[in-house]
Amino acid sequence: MNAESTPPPVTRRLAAFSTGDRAGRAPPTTGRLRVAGVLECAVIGSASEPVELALRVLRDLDRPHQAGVLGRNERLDAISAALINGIAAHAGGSGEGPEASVVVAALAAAELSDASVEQLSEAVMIGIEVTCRVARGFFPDAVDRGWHTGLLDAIGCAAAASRLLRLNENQAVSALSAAATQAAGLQVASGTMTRSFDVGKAAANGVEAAMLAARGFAGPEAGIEGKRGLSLVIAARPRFDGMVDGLGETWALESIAGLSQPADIPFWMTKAERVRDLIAMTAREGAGRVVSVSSQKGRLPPQ
Amino acid sequence: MRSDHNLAYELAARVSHLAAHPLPREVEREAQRAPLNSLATAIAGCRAPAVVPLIEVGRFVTGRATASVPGTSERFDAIVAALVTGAAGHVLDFDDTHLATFIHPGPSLVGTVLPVAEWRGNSGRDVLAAFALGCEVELRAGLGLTVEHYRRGWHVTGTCGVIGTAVAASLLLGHDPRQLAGAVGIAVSQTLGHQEGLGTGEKALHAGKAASNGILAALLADAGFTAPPDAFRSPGGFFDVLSDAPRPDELVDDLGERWELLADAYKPYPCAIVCHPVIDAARSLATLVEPANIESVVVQCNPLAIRLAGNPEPRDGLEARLSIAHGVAVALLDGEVGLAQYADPRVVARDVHGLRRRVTLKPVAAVAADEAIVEIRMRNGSQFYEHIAHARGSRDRPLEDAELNVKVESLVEAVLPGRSEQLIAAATGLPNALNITSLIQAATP
Repeated sequence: MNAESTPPPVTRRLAAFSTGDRAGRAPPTTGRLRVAGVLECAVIGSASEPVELALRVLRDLDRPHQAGVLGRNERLDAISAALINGIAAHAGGSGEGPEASVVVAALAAAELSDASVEQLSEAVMIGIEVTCRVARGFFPDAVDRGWHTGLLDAIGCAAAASRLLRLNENQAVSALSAAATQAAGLQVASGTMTRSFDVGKAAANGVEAAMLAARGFAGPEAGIEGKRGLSLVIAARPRFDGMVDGLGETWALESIAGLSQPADIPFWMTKAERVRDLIAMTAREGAGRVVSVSSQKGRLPPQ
Repeated sequence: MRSDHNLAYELAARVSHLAAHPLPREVEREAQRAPLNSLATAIAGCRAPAVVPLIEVGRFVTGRATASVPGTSERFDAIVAALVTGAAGHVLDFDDTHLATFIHPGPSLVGTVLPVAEWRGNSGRDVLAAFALGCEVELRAGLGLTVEHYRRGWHVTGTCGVIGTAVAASLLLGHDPRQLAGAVGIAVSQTLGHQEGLGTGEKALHAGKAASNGILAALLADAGFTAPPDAFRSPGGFFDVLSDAPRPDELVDDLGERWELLADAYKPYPCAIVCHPVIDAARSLATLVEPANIESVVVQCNPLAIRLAGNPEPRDGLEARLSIAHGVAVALLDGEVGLAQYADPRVVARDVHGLRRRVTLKPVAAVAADEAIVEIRMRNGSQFYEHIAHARGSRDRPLEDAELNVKVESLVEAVLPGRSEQLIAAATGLPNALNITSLIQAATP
């Protein structure tokens, strides 16, 4: 392969995929199952120490109540909600795949746009797919270099948020580039609260990137494939073709070993039509109180 | 080699010690001038198109209004104010540059220290110390990554900026060394910035996010959040991952004796600093030549300068800031090089376009980054030559107070008429100020 060959327009293709019409093109149940899996982890993690500590900081800022904190009767601005819920999901055992950050980013964006659970699930699947596609070109090289596996999470988060906030393709290019330039997270963080923070921060950065792009922020055209773009996180040339080949036809996310999902959509999830109802279901009366999780592994009890 | 000790903690302990003692006189002077310089660029940049989306999102998500945005009536929480102020300070490319690393430390540090100090009521002296030490750690982190990091394509202002802002915010929050090391450890997880974004609004975003991420890191450390014990030297840590040829000891070697802050250059022209010696040369020739009769202009400069600012045909003001050819053309045509020369209409003007096309850039490894040679050949065969050994504003030819004040005046007066004198006085009075109220009052409508 010619190392100097022009890469495909990855950022734009992924932006088009993220924002385009995909009527009837993918099984929405996959998205719902992934949402359910992450929700369960976030509820489990919602009373953990890193969540309590980070909430202390955010409460002090007194942010507006735009999006729900999972497992708690508490609301924050959309960017901070993504941050906290990401910390909770990781602390609650979501593992280190791309699902956790994408789901919590999508939840925050979905509340801003009053999306349905159906729209949420679709955006989640697209977001995970985008992260997995980009990861195809960068992993394991990036991990060998010392980045942790959450390095690319913000990109899928920006994709999911772009869809839910109804960005057009050009805006989504800027959102994806803004997320790509913030790709971060080092293996040295593993085993500390900072590793959980990284999951939330990727989600927050992705939501913020989409919000900025929706208001006219214009980033570079090729944040992912550009010569001085995301490529520089590894020493070698990334494998760009796998990022876009068959995009929308074949699904990279099916090949990743993700977190354990419920076998079926939990019935508590089938009851919610809108995302805000879904989030409300995870909260109980009284600030800071957390729902108990049933003895059945990872299942939320019915309300 | 000190391979087994904890570099982050050693750094934090030494920084805390330095913060508790008066700064050396010449350091204190630059710790006043550097923030004044970047505060002025933030005031001038607050209305730039790339900053507008940040203000709009800021209005939407902000919490309790505890911090001002210079140049505007906006009041946000400290994290949002930091995002906007850092970006506004950098967006015009008129800020400052540490030539050894190409870091622009001023905007993100001003974007950090002003919101936190306004919120928490720190004294002027606290602010100067936080700025000086945050800046020092940031620039040394850049030296530790070496120029290899920059050559690979990182926008060092972001990758190292977040380290410096975390230190500055942590000092203003009154942290002990353990908390300071924690803040830095959390900051290391939030590095950002690729050069792909240069020439777009993303460049400014890097400075803004460096500021807001640093404050967030310090606040989390304040709350007791845990971080990697040594995010700098460990495998899978900052230096290991972000550079192929790191020199981690740069962080602490001669800390408190050698001050990199003293090598921070305040830009006399609103463009990439590698353009500056060339513009100096062209301005000095401008009085001698009639631009319409120029046959060709040959510029000899450092190869990195061309790599960064080799764009022969910029299409707008943002791209022009990374174009040596544009800097030469407007210097020869207009004699002066200020914000007007980087306004979009001037960038696409016929005479500027015509002269840019006559400019050839020659990379010469022996020419230093702050040096340039410009040769002009006229249609009648006559030739002119200028050699600039050190650009105006560089370490070897720093801006005098009077020159800096002229710059501040021109930037501030355009947005806040009649305020520049008050602003300069407030910045000069910081060492004795109980809080930064007068500075903020001077910087806002």
